[in-house]
Amino acid sequence: MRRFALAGNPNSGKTTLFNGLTGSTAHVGNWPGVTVDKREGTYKKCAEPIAIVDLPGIYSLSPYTPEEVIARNYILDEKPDCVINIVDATNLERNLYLTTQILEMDVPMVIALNMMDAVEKNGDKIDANELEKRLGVPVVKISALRSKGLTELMDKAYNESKKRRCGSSVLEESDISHLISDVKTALTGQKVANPLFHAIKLVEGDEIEVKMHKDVLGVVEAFKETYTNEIFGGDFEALVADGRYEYISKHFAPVLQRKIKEKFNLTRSDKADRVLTHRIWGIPIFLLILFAVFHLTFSEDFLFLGAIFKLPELADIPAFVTVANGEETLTYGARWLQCIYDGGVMSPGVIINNVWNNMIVGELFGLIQGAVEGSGMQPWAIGLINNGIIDGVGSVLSFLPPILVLFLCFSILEDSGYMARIAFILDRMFRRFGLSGRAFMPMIMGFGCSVPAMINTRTLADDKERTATIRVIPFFSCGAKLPILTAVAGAMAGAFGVGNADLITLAMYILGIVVAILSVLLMRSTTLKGETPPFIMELPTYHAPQFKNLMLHLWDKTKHFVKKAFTIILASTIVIWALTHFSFGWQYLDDEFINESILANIAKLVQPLFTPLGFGSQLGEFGWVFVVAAVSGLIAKENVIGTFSTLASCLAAGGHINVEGLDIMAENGVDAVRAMIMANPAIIGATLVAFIAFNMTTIPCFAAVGTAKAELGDKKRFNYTLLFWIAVSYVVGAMIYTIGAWWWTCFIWTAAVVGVIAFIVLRNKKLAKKESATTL
Amino acid sequence: MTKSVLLASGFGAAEIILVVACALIVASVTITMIVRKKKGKPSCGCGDCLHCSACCKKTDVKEEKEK
Repeated sequence: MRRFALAGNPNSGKTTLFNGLTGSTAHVGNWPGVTVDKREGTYKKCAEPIAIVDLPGIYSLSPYTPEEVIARNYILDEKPDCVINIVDATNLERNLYLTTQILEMDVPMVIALNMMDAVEKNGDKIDANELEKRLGVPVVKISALRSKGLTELMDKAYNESKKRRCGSSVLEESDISHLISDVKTALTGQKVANPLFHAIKLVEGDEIEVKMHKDVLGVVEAFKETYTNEIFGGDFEALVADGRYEYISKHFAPVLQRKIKEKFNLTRSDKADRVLTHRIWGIPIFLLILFAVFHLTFSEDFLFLGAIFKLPELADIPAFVTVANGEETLTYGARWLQCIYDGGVMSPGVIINNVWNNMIVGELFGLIQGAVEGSGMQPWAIGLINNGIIDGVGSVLSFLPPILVLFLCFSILEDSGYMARIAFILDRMFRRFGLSGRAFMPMIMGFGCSVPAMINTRTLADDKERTATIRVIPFFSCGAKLPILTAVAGAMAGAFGVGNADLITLAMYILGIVVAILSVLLMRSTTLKGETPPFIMELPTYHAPQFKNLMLHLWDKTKHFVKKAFTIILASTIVIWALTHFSFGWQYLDDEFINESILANIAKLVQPLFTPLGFGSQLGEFGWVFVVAAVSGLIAKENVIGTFSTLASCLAAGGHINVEGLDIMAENGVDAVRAMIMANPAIIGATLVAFIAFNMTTIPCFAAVGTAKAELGDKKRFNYTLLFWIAVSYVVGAMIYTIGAWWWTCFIWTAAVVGVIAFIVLRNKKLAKKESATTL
Repeated sequence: MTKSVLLASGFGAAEIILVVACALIVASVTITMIVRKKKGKPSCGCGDCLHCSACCKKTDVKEEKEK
């Protein structure tokens, strides 16, 4: 099968073109650096199927970044049949810099002038025929976003792939053309493939080439000794770059005819950036947007209308109340209305959540549970299905709506181009803590899942910065941790009447970010010291989010979430149920005796370890439930709430806890946690916050741990990372609980933190002194 | 013989099917996770895999590293 590679600058639309050609749903991000590895798909509309390889976005073929190495090695080593060079037509000159380098390779190529719709909208014109003549390779105008010109592009690429092409250079008019020619002749004599490309890179002083072609280096060195340039001196890399740009502006740029504008006008993106990336207001606006996202997703008092206008609850309105069996209950219509309003207007996220849980999942699973109870099966079998499987899996499924709403909001921010601005805004702040804004990109991805986020750290060239970033990524609460946050925050608000679920959830997200920043600061001042690499980033223009993109993202989220609920979560709840219903002698235990089960006994052994965090020995008889829930989260974080629900249902069935007025038998994760709170007076607000913080910062799920191991490479570094996660979660949890339970302990913690800072500062000063003494 | 022992201990057909199904689910999920791990594919199941191609990657991670 023929293979075509897509190469181009970051954010030039390669992945959009890849999706358009292959029908794939690869993620398209409106920020540079979304694709860190190559990916493959198949184009089937040509005379024969063609493998399309989407390469990461690059600015040059010099090996400065891992993406550039991946793209360069692919074109040189894998020898694709054709390279489709995607050029952002709105930034023609800059994009052609990469084109001039691909032209030097002996590979058939076609130029795809992308975003032509935007060029035409601006009133500009590009003479593609003239550009084609000047470049010597076919040029096709396309719009990947609107799928225009793709067939013509592929037809031309297919025809080109059948031909042989020798590399050509734009440096023939430069002072060093003779040197390039001499080196090329020497390399051709050695039968080196792509001699022109290697010759120019050797002249540039490219690290890889210098190592590969030591024997030819003498020719270059001899020339360098006799040659000096007035502007660049002996810097041949700069000389070559200047030669390329000079040629581009002289020969290629004239093909672009810009509409004459009367005065210099700022684009809409520029105007928006004046506010959104403002030096002072940038961060408060970011926090405000983050609050709006959480308010839209979790608030039961949208826009605080209930609090402002003191609106009544439905139970206080006689028209919505009916009396059945001597008890006052809401009418059926009021139950539907309750999904939208109950003393306050619900936010869109909560409305979807209520409809899903009360009217769909609750009703459906209620029917199944009723049928199982009436089936005549053994009580243990009924318990396994109803309390184990349905309550466990159902409670996790109940969090699908908030996850989808939250990720829809995040996708909108990402697709519009705002996420890239956050990296820019936070670069100044992160730089002080030893990380560049570039490290924030994978951290943003960490809000979705730690696994792709850790893989994305490959874009970080500095090894120490990369290690620090991988270690803090799990602190950015991923989608799987959302059920823990929502359930515990909701239960906290319900049981203690403390704050709103949306504010608690947002506070926990911010806590994760703060812990990450402090951890980075600590690591970069001690074990992972190093220079902060410069951060140069091209800000994409803002655009309206693509509906198709958003829906694809949500569909994938839903598909995987449901799949995970019915595989990993289902298997886990079965194991949890079995371990809580058998003793060490493999005797079956009824719900009344689960305190004697294998799981309870093991958990009770480790329970004292969690005493400083508030969910240890002080919780007494059923405190082990918290320990089991936290540990089961190592398999998948959603398991924490699945386990809570399974165990709460079993405890309720055994008559150990009172669930009056709660809905735990209807797969409600929030009420399962509330039931545990009601069962144990030792549980205070600080216990629950510490529990959330512990789960957010401790060792992530198995998948993320495996990825961290693969990405860190070094076994010792990985083991330290595991220790780091355990230590951070333990300290953060203990700090929150002790300060919440005994406020005066804040003085002890402050003294400890000041002590650590003083120790680090003094140690660093001592080391710096030692270093300067050695240098002298 | 096995069936009569199980039935005598209170296991009807439904209970036997339930136990076998549960055992199969647990075993298949565990085996799948182990196999995927050996192939270097993370089983994050987060649905955010559009951000990376790790979970559907065909090339072996070890091979890639050796390269």
